[in-house]
Amino acid sequence: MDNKEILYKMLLIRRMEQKIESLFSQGLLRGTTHCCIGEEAVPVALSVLIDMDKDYLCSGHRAHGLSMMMTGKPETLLGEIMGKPYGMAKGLGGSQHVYYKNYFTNGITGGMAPVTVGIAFALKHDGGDAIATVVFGDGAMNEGYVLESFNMAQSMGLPVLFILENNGYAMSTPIETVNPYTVFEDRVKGFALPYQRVEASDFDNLFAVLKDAVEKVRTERTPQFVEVMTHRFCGHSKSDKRAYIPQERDDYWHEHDCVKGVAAKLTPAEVEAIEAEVAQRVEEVYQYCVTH
Amino acid sequence: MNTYKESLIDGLERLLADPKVFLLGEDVEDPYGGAYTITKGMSTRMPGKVLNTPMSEQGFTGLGVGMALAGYKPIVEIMFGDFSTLIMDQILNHASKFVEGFEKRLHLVVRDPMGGYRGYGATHSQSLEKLYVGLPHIAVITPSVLHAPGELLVKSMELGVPVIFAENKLDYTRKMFAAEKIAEAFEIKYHGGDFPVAEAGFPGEEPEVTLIGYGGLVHPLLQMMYDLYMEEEVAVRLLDVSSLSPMDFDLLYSLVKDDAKVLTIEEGHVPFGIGDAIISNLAQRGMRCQFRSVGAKQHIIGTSKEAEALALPQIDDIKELILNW
Ligand SMILES: Cc1ncc(C[n+]2csc(CCOP(=O)(O)OP(=O)(O)O)c2C)c(N)n1
Ligand SMILES: [Mg+2]
Repeated sequence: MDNKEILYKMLLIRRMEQKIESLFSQGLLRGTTHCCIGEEAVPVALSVLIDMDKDYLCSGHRAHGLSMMMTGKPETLLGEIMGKPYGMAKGLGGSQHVYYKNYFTNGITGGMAPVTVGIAFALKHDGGDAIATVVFGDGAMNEGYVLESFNMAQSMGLPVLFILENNGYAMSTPIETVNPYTVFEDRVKGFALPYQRVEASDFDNLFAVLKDAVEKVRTERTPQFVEVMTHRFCGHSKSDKRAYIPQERDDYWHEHDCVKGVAAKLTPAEVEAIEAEVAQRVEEVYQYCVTH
Repeated sequence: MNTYKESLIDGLERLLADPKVFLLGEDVEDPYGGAYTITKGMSTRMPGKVLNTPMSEQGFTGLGVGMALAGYKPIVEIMFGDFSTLIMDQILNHASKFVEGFEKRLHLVVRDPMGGYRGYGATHSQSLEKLYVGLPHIAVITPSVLHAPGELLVKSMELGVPVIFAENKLDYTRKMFAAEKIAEAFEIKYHGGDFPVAEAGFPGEEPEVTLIGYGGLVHPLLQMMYDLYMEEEVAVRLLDVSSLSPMDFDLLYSLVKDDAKVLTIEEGHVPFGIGDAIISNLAQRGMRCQFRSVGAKQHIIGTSKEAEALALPQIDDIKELILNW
């Protein structure tokens, strides 16, 4: 991916998410939704690191970015949220319960971790170099079955990549208030999992770390763990006003926004052109979904 | 196959011959071979196919769900059915949702040994199959001494939905009914398809009461029926259901619609038990007869014989109930 493609993908996610938020606030969508504004970097990186024809990818409630990156068809995500038959899960799943080829999401926080370990078991027995990846949040780090998954993956030696997107909050609960350590390194290393930590702001750096982890899982057929420090600029779900997030945290992350980081590597004219291209694509997706 | 255990072992070995089948659970490998020695020798005979897991019921059940999602056919063994509370999230909120939500056939059987009368106490004696019935895309299958567990196990793996395979711990020590001496006095008929209803009665007799039951109580109920017939000249018949969920209510109705007295019997707690659901369904079809349901009473299952008897249904009480009805 060159920087233009990276920016295009990041902005496509962000502008689609903003569109989805605005449709919800206008009362045009049903149910709930969890957007990933600010957290676009991991999905964009995985869009080229994961091979949907052989690898598996699982995630949870905050997966619009992954969904759009895996399908390449945002209309199947928006259509799903709108309950359309051409949605990713034929309109049965809504925002949280979607699938596409070997990509699956579910609404139980962290519950896909043991499932992904089981997929990795199958992939190991299949032979070949396919891997299983699961993406989850800091809140999921306190679900017992997620910890059980770390233990099983390492003790059974399975080709699974754990990606923790640490955005500092589980819904409104700051990690500091519910964890003795605010970085999870020691906990993860307690399961003897190879661990790397990286901030989502510098895409090239993030990409290098994830690529390295993916390649190790592919070749060594054993687990890897990457903790990505990130931030969500939007509410937890459609109605959340983010009263619990201090201004300083937002300020830091506005400085370290992954989108800004990539945009800075392009000329203003290039950025503008990409913005325009994205805006047009979002409008096409929206028009398709309201007319089909 | 003479015994319940032999049948079960045979079914497991037939399944394990498939390269996609693995058995996972706590202490299932040799030399231990499982808490009831069902898998004894298997990990040695079939290296890599029968695997010890860490003590993480939720985790390794999820592992099974993931294997099934990737096209494998795992058998997950839960040491005591009581611990199936721990796995419900993976079965209900994951596996069952994937069947319809992701349009996936999942081949996954959870072996879940239920039942008491062994003095093991409140957390090692329950019959919790009722927690899993009536839920979309979950099957609950109950072998017994009339329904060979090995046969049902092999068929369960083909259902394409997660299966709670509710074995019974006392049944592990029993013969299949056909191998029992008293079986000669009975006439046994099977109704329905892959997961039939077994009908046990006495040739040429009009039953005074129809019992509907399943699982581990089938064995003592058959003995009780024999005693009632021989000693009191009271003929009752038993319908033994092998699929609690989905339940073939049409078939059950067709078998009982002309009866005057129907008694459902289960080892799990009532009310809100399996029998209550059966009676409700029959009543909603307009069936007019006397209905009774028996199950465990509202006590925890104590370890002493007396304490256990406070909770678990007692065959003598059932006999009395029938005689005085
Ligand atoms: C088992 C479970 N408990 C609670 C919830 C409700 N819930 C949904 S998301 C969430 C917070 C998750 O936090 P985290 O894992 O950090 O992910 P993030 O939302 O930050 O992306 C909660 C409490 C749930 N869906 N599942
Ligand atoms: Mg979080």
